[in-house]
Amino acid sequence: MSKLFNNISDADKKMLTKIYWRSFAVFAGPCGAAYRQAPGFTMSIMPALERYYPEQEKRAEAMQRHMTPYNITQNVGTFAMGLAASMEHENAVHYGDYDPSSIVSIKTALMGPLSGIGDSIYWGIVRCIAAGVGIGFAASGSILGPILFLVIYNLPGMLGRYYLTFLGFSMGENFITKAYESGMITILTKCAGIIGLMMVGFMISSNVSLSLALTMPVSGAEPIAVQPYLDSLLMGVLPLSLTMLCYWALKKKMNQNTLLFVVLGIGFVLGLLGIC
Amino acid sequence: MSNLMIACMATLAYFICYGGNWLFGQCMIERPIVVGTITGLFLGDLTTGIIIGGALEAIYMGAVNIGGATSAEPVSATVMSVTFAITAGLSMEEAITLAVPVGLIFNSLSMVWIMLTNIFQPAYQKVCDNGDGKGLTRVILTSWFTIYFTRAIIIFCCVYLGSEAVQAFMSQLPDSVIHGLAVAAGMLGAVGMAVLMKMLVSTENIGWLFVGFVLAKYLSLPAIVIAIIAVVIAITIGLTDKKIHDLKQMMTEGTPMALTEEEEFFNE
Repeated sequence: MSKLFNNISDADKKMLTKIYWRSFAVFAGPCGAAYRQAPGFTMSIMPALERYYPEQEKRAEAMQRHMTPYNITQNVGTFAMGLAASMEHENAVHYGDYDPSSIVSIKTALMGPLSGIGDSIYWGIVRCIAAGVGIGFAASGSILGPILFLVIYNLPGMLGRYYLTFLGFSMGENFITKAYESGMITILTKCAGIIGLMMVGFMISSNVSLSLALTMPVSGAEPIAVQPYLDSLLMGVLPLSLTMLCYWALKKKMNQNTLLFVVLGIGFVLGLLGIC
Repeated sequence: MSNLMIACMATLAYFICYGGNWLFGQCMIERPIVVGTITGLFLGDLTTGIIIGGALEAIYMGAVNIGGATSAEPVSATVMSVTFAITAGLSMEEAITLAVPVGLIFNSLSMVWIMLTNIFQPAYQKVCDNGDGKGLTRVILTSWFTIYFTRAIIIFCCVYLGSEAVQAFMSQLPDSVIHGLAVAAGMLGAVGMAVLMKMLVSTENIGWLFVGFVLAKYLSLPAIVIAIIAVVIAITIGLTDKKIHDLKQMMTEGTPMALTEEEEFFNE
């Protein structure tokens, strides 16, 4: 990573660090369907715009240019910010010969691919691990639960956010295309799936509970409970099947909220009737 | 603690967690596990807050804000269920089942605020026309405060007015109904997990879910150990895939090409 900073001057570094800190509030001011997260993006790259366009007119033009719908997973969105900063620099240097609309079109084109990477890393891997560990501790009421959850999620998040600001500035728009061509992204998505699913398996085992309270009446003896037989078949077979059933229902396009209520209703009735 | 004080504390927890999350880089302080902890801290019962927060985290695992669309609003759900568990004497299970309808109602209310953000459009236009960077920051902060403060007011009203009603209602419930709620609360986690699965599953990787499940159920391994195993497996498979991919490319292109600077970067 060291060569990342080689061709970045101290002034650039200062500007990019400012962009990095501002990027934390990127989604603080969403505005309707016309702008969506554009205000936050423009606010984040303001250090670059103020540096490259000291003239108020040019700066206003650049700000207006960036007020187009924007949305990229927070922790990777700084790549687009660094890139936009370097392109604004080009535009300022070659003012008039440079087509500034390309800045916005490249930024917009990056939204899908970058969010794809960001979602699989941060929602797929990091959050599943953080939640798995956090929920485990929280179940016993330990303060370590929320603390570990926040640390495990935010440490890679903040690091990635920082380096991507610089990477976007120095590597340019070909970087992402190259990353897709090199097969890295497909592999990354696959890895995210494996880690995420193993954590989901863990969370099903500890956070979904369902057991039968039913007993078989036996004449002249104690009634026999059914649950031990299920346990000897496969421990936790009921919670596991229930989760699979919910997954199947979602695959069949059932709405998530409807499903919550269906499960709530079924669980309530099963409990009320003393079956579970 | 008086009713007014309770409502203030719950509202504060809501504002800090929900607003703070979007001001500080979506740092996940809006997730139930954190919201529950902070609400519990403010109301003087940390342990209850953490336990309910953790349980709700599992239920709402799938409810994340991706692309601005939410399916449920876990923050209000967590604040209310923790508050009522601590102050109105609800059991954990009752509190958890209460969270579901609350989350749903507040999510449909969210539409109001999404529309509300439109009123700031002229202000944004004006600061951009003037090239006014400081003004832009000011409008964003104003919009941020307006949205989360008005949302917090709704929470205040619900807790302030609802506390006694919830308490009175719950004390009337017969045991069989309470048992029903407990069973339902245990089952709800399945929905959150299913939503996560929908994001992650492909036909070739679903088997890993059962590996994680069996390791946890039969060997009782803690989450961190399973995470380590999962990462090692994923890296091994990833590296093998990378080799196969490179090999394929070499075969289609004939001779290996000279590496450009970017490719060197990926190979590091």
